[in-house]
Amino acid sequence: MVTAPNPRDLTLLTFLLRRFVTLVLTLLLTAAVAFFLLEVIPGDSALDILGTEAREDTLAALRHQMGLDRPVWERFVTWISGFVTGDLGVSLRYNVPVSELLWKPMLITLPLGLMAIALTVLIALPLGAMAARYRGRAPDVLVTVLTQLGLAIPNFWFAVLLILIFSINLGWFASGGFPGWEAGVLPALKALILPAISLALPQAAIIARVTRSSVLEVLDADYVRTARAKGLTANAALWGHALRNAMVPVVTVMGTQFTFMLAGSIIVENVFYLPGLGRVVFQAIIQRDLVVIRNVVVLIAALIMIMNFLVDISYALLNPRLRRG
Amino acid sequence: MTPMRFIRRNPSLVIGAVLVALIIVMALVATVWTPYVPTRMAMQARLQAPSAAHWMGTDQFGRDILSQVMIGAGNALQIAVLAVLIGASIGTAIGLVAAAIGGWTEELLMRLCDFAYAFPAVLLAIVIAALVGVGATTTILAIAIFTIPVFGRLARGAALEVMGRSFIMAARLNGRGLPLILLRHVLPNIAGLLIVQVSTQIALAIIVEAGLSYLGIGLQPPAISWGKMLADAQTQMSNMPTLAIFPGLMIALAVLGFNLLGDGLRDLLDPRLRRAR
Repeated sequence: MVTAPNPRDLTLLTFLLRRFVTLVLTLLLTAAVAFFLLEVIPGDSALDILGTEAREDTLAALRHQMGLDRPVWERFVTWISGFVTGDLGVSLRYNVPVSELLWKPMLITLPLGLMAIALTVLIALPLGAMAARYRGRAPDVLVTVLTQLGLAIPNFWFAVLLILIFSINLGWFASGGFPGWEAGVLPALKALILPAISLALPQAAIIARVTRSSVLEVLDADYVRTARAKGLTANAALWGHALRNAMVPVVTVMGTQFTFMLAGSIIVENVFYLPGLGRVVFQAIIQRDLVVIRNVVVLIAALIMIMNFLVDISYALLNPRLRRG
Repeated sequence: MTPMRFIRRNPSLVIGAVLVALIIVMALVATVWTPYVPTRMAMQARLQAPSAAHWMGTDQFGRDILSQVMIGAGNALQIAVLAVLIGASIGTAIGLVAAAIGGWTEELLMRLCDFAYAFPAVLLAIVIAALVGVGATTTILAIAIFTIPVFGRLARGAALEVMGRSFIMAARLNGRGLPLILLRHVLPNIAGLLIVQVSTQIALAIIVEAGLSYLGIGLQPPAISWGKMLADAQTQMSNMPTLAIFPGLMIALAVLGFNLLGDGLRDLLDPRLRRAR
């Protein structure tokens, strides 16, 4: 027997479908923009590699080998279908598959990002909640001052200061470099601690601010007053009831902050000489390796957009009223 | 209100304004005078700690850090302000047009803003650097493009709210054209909000400029940038740690100044928000 679908589920399904189609279209648009900007505008990659002294027939042969003599749209389709299946083309400089060039750096950048997110949450949530709990009093003022400082101190300067204190003066950490996961999990994680702290600082400042205002709003809600009236202490009401409900806006902001964290890792990896994605991109710019740049840019943009997509979806699942928006 | 009372009521505004003013004065003074010629090398005075002769010490070539920091202030301000004004003007225009026309135009413009917003400035700068090379232009372009969607969204939201009010209806009934209404009536009413955002955005632009120069994508030598100074200092950190302190401190003070100024202006313009935050 066929049962009629619940109209509420249908709305949700339409929302998910619409949002998914938008995601795919934006990804295609990004890929197209990156492709045309980096492949079509800069001129002749073959000439770039061989130099202006090269003979015309050598150039023609290389152009043919790189597929540059084919129409633009055909090259775009080839690249996109390759990108989806994990074939990212061949680096202009190193003559190795780009996917090989990016695989190992991903194993540094992603754990670094995750550690930074974990640190952000560990620092920001208690600080934000505490500021809201003691609103207008000393802890609140302290947190406000700390967040202003956290916003003002650039993460790369903070990174340099951390190296100054913990590597040069105290000698607890290496001032940079990465031993590789082959050297064991602990040494590898140790090399990522200072970079993760410097990435987390500005994020924690932002998230602490959002947490504070979000908790303040919830603390005024009726159910918190009811909880207090039932005899819960202010702390129990805060941790047991308010904080959980205050999390929705916090999660949203964290999703968008992920973007800035990835961008920040480009700089911080360079401060610590970590061979992550940021450093690969940076070296690709210096060497004008457009194939690598194009792929990394689209890869990072895709990560960001998929992250935003997931945040939107979780938001819709948490708050049904937003699905129509 | 007495001056003291104003300061007590608006600490963010006053501290922010003082910091910003100090940095502007520093940049202006540097155009006519610095303690030393900032690029002059003096090998006998290499890597000196801060002293009466060199308040912030000297670098590995004996160049005076204070003089470099002063010149760096001007460069940071010029790039940040120029880039943000370009981005803010284009963004505001987009937002106003979207709010006024509505329909598909609005939808398209706003989706483009979302698209541009998803692209971090550093990533954008990398693409631009790959296309046109490194330098000040790349930095300004990257910050400006990154700024456009921020003002596009803000201006659209604020303009929609203003356009629903009755005096806009009155102006339309008087036969005023849409462009005139936008410029004469809508823009002045959302200007305060935009100015607050300009201040906050300049703070962000200063960080991005310094970061790009640190990476070597931004200002190129012999132009002096706080970010580039930090990158140089890192190579000498075990010899002279103070080298890494002052340029970073200047970035932080400038960013703090513009952030506090923005916060203070917002409180002043809309006192109701003060409680909510």
